[in-house]
Amino acid sequence: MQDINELPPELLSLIFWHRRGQCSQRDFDWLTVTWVCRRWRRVALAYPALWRTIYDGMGRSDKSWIPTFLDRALGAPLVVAIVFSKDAQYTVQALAPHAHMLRVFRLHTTRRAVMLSSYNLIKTTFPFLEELALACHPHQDDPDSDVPPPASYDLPRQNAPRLVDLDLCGLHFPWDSTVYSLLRSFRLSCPATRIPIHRLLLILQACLSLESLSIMGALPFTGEPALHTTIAGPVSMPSLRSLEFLDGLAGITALCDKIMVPSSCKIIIHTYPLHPDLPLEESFAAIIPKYAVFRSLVQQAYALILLSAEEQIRINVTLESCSEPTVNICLQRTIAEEAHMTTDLWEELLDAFCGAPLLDATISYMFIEEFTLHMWRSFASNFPRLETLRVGRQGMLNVGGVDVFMHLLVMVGGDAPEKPSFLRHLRFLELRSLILDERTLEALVMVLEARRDYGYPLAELTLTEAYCRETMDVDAVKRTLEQQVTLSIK
Amino acid sequence: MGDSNRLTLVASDGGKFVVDKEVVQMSVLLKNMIEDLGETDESIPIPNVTSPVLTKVIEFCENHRTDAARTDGPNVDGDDARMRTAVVSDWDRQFFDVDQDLMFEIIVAANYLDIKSLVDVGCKVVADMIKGKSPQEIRDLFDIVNDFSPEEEAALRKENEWANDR
Repeated sequence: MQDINELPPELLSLIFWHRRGQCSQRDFDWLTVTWVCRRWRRVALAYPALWRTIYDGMGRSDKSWIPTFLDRALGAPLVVAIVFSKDAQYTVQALAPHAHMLRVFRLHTTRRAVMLSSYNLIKTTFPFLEELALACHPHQDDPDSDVPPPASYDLPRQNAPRLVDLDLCGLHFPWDSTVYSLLRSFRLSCPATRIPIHRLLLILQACLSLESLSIMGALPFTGEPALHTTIAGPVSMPSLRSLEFLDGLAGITALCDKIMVPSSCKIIIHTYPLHPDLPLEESFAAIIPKYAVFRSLVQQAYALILLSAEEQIRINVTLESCSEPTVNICLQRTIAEEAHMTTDLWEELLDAFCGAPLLDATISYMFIEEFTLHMWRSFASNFPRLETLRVGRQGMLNVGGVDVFMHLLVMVGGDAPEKPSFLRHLRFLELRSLILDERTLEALVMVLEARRDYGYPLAELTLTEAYCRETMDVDAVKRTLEQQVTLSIK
Repeated sequence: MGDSNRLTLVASDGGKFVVDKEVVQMSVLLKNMIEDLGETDESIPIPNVTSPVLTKVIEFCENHRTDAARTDGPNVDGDDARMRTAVVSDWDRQFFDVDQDLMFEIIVAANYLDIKSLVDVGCKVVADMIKGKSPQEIRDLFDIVNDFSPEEEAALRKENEWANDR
């Protein structure tokens, strides 16, 4: 016979540890295990893993738990996150005697004094530090917001020999810091001053083991002519698996020209026109030639382009390609009435992306217009290998645009298979926010039947957040569709 | 000579279990013993584990024989990755749908045999039982006596305030 009172301490503490793992970092519900009996409390207090994680976020006013937790951590490597805490200064000071035990330290603040305290904190050596995030976020709604702090700060590599993950926001370490060597992940966002490309290249050259690189709002606006670069050839980053930018086109392309990444590296680019006043069509015209640069980085391009001009138009195009067969493209348009995506520009976009072995597509659109009709027509013929298609729009899919919906249906099955626009590989179709009425259902069934008769049946139809008109019997609709295809309703 | 891929385990009450070596190798203890013994027909005694418990342990190992081996152990600095990966499946929940005595005997046996995944799943099932319960409800669940003095209880109330301050 065995009961919990006889469990050895190592098993009881493991139960407590899993109980703590069920709670979020800011949630102390798990503390109940220390209030059950003396033995449980003794075991819990002697188990450092329960106490080594400190999350000081918004909301908590009483901070007396912080030094208690730190004491109970009994010298275990610490995981500490201070995220816009009301009195972060207190936490940083409480942490000071234990700072050498930090394994993970994340600080997000709007206060210069806090950041300066953290600078003092990390002047010591960190034998266990693996992950460091320092983020200054000036905030216009916070009257005490006064970052950025002075930029003259460094963490020499010998002080943090195990540091592999560095995230700097609102500040940056010196370009010749030794800390960059051995990093596996480096994220640099909105430094106090933008970093010239040649400096950045020197930093990247020092990151020999980098697997993930993210640069957000850090590149020079002008792109800085490459001739200023003191590095002769491109910087090779052989270990890189993920590369992400959010910056102006000029800066990104200038940097992209100077780095070499493996073909398997995933590249995500968020960008915008240099000049918000640039007429819309010129903005498109400016961005399209840049695709070639991004795509030249890897044979099968990954790119996300965010184009925004005065919020009039926003297009996200995600081309996620890899050596594996799954490829995703996401087109999302939000176009104000006065702005128009012309068919010519759409053709240019297609030209830029066409050739990618697109198998999986998500298309969301907002307005029903001539352009959308054109888009459907050209989509199928440009991406004939499509296997999965998800379609939705803001609002119901077929309100005020039944004709467009019918065009979509034609695209997925109405055409005869000998036509080039027939998506013969299509197996999965998801329709989001579809209103099911008699006419829609009839058309849908007709398409499903046609594909089956042609010998290219859909494997699955998913209806997400569909709405049945009151006149329709939901069960009957389901039965009708299930006779044609495996139906999934979300 | 018997089947070289199988061996016999003998429970503390004398019960014998013929099992695949591959299955029992989920136990680090048995894996090391098998390596030390080499090819042998000898039975392996499991002196701390009764037949009903060993039956359950073997059932778990057979069900999880294709899982990736988990060799990391609990450590003082805590291993968040291990916490995240200790997934309790529906099968596991049904497996532990037994009386408390047997449940804790299985966990203790798994700890003795050094079967990390079974220890983790067992402890997580117990953690699930505790979840959302007050100290008194936990005491009632496991028949635990509250041995805190009134003074100690008063001191604990301070920590209670931490839990309520969000």
